[in-house]
Amino acid sequence: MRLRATAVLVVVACLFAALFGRLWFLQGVEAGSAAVAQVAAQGIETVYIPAPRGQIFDRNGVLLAGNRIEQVVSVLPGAEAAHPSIVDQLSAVLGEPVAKVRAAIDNVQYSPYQPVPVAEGVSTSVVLAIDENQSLLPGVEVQAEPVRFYPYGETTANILGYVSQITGAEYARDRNEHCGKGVGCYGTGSVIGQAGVEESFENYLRGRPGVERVQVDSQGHVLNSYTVSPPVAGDDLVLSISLTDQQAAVQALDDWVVKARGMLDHVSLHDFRAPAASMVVEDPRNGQILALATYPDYNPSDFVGGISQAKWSYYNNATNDYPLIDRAVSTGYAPGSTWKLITATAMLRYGLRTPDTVYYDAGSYSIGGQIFNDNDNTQLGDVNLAQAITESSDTYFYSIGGQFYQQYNYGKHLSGPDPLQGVASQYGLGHYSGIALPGEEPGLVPDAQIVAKMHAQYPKAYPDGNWEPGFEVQEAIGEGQDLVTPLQLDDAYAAFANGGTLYVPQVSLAVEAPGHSGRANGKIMVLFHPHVKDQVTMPSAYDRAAMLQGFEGVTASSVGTAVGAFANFPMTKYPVAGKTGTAQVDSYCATATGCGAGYLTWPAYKQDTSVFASFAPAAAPRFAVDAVFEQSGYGADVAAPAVEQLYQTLFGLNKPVPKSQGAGTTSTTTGTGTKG
Amino acid sequence: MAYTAVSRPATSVPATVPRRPVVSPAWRHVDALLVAATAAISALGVLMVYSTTRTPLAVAGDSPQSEMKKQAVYAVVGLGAFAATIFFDYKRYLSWAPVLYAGSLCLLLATLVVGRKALGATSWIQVGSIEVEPSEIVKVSLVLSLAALLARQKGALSGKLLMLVLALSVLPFLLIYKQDALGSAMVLAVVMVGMLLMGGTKGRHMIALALVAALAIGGVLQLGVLKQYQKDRLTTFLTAPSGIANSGPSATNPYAATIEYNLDQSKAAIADGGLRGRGLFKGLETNLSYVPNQSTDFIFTAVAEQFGFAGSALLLALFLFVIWRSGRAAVMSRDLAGTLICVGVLSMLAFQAFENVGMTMGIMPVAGITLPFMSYGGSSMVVDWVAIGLVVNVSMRRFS
Repeated sequence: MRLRATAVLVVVACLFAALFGRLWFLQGVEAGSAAVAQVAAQGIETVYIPAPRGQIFDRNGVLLAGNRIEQVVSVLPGAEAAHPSIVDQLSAVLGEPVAKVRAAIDNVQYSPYQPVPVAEGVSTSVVLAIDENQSLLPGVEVQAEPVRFYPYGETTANILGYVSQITGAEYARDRNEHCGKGVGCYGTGSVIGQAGVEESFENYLRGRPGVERVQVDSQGHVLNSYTVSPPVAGDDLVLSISLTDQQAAVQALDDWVVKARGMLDHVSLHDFRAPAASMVVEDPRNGQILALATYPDYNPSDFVGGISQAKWSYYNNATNDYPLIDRAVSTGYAPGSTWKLITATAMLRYGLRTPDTVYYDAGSYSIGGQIFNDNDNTQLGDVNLAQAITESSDTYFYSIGGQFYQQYNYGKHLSGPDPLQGVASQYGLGHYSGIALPGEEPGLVPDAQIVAKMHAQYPKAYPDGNWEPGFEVQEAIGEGQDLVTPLQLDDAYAAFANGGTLYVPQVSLAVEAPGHSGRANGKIMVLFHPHVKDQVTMPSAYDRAAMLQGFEGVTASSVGTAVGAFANFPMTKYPVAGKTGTAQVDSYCATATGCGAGYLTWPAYKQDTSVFASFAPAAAPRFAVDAVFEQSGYGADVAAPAVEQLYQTLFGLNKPVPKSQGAGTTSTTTGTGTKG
Repeated sequence: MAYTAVSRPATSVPATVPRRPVVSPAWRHVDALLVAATAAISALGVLMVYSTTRTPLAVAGDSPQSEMKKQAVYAVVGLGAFAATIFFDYKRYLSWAPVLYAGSLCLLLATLVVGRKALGATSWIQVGSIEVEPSEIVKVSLVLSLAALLARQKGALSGKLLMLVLALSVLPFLLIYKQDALGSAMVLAVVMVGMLLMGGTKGRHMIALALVAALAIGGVLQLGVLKQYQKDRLTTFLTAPSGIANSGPSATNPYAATIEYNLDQSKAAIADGGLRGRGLFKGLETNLSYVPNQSTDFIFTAVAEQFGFAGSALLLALFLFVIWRSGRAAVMSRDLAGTLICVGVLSMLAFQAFENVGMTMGIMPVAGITLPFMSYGGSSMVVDWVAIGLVVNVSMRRFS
């Protein structure tokens, strides 16, 4: 019996020894292994709390972009496939057509792993209805979310841009390239700037999303959550833009596009189409942009919470003239006679003529057997430099181009850049201005190398690879292959106005710590100083004064090309120096037959571009203003009066007329470019 | 103590004063350490039930304390049952044994007719407003019945009586097996073997019994008496990886895969505790309810995760202590019946503790066996306390 008792004792001891051993293996050896950590982490989910996006103010503290808390209804990916009935249910709750709800859910702009917003700013009753009918609406959620809003809509759209939920590709790129490397990570539902300063100042505006770890039990219930890091609001951005100036510029565009469409083009004998236009106001003393207007424009609110397919098609349709394109920075135009600023500077700098040299304008100029006519074949007779600018003598400048060509042709030993193109480059033409806005075009200033390169690349489109005299002659009056953006043109005139300093055009003044409401609290995080991009080698003071005299004559002299536009402007108080430009885009032929090669008939023919570049007051300039109107004829008829109208506001001569909301859209829809 | 005898002459003792009893009252010999250890385990059980049920209850919108309170009540009732059990000499219980046995058998039969199914077994019947688990009750009545039967033979067990013992054991075994509560049935088998061993079964009989058992087990496995899921429960711990799998279950059979997943959760929870544990209410797996049946069969994982190796080793030590005190009571018993009662209880507690804890750690098959005094539930709590009451009963009356 004792033996048996001992046996029982031994058995029990062995069993418990096994338990202790196994316990030690699990808790002493296995503990801390990756497998345990993985099993232990299974209940933890990371949730990103969106950070309030920084607000955007104009230079006077007017709110241009802010956040509004709205109830957003969204549908989880895959919910529609799993429960097709939710589309009908949801449309009933929202009171919207089934097709519209389905289209919102199927919006391809959203990646397959993020909730798709279906309705924003819904009423409390809708929120309650969705909450109460969760069983009928699986995968439908309602959340209070900060939603971007733009109080001035279309007026500031091209500058501000818009925001949208991050796309799958952007999210993946962030994960691979930036996230965790000193930069905060985006969440799948993060909002990201997609155009304008919303895009270019994204890193200041976005803030840092908060990270929350949520404990989810085996059934998916959220048990508790703890904050790893709270969301950090984005910094506010203060722009150099002045809202009143911007509104006035947009108003001038709207007004003069309409007026241009009522004017007859004497070339094509159709009314001008005036499909698009833009204006730039820059402070020549520091390069700050005060207004940057483009026509047609778009409403950035259309993009908030995902743009509808119809709107997206509308904005990307040729018949609507692509309202998403900011003409001021993204479109290069032949600048026409406004280019004469460059030719005159080059002429004086390289001593081809003195300002007082008298040139006989016979109405045409010929070189190498080619004849170049003055725009209207008018003979201006004897002109000096100032008169040639004031009256816009083409032959005066054709001949300068011809002289430069001859220098090139006979003096290939001359080192350094071609004089005309070199001066253009100093004025910032042909390369990026460096403005902090996405989508800028560098423009084009052709020279011998570029022509040779173009010919090598595209022999069919550019059959002649040689630098022909006609190229240089055309370039001297801003025709031919020249492409200049309205912003670049304004930069160049601002550089002349301030005595030769070319600034990087600046849209932002400062980044400030997020304010509680309205204007930022004033703590400056980053201050953007004027940045000098280049120094134009200016001719002597005497020579420059002659140019200035010519520019002032454009608006003030009785023979000035834009004198009519400035007839009612207080020129003695605020003398405006400027230059008109009328850039030929196509060669017109009235009949389909018997036209030379390269001539176009209506409606393929594109009418002349109306350009005006200026600065004021002429002696101590505070504003450099230009305007470019597509297919609007003479610079003196449309662009110049539009600029004059804007100067009225800039100098406080009239009360600014605020642009009524939606007016831009209305005129966009009517201005399809087929009128006349 | 000679000086006392001198200072107090025998003549001064009044004749009317009753003589001090030769034997001190039985309550003075209550094994307080055994009771204290058992009470400590029960108290820990109440706390562990709270830690495992508070979050699911809160999520469901109930009071987080509701199940803990119930378990505390069960523990108090168990303590009351313990007190009642030690009140009468265990000899009386032995004489009631046939009645107790028949009564619990009836309950088992009733379960088959009106039983409620839970955790895979149909083991509960409604008695008034409370639910009773007859398979728990039958453990104690079998211990008493076998003790009564074997003790009468004074250690010389005839083959005929052996057959009777086997019959008495197999009957409830089969009834419980029919309820699909294989684990509880195994407890009965172990109790029977332990008591036969200490009850004077002849060596050759034991060997014969072992052979029959081996043949029976082999037959059962081969002849398909067990359903596939029952086999899976018994064998998955052998086929699953010994460590914690992080690549999903290796089993292809869905039921075995489920068990393997559950075992992984259980093992991970234990390993998550490490040496010192995560701390009370800080166990991740416990708080997130990732271990299935954690408040009942898998309650050991809650101890292991929250208190680590230190805490779980202490708990095992407490169980060992209870088992040792039961063995001590068996050895010191005044009669064979007392010894056998203690051996029966010892076998029951040792096997249940080993099987339950071993199951959570993946070294024993998954069988529905409670951890005594710890697992949530009234029947097992009360029955286990009655069993301890029987041991204490035997040990406190060892001098009477």
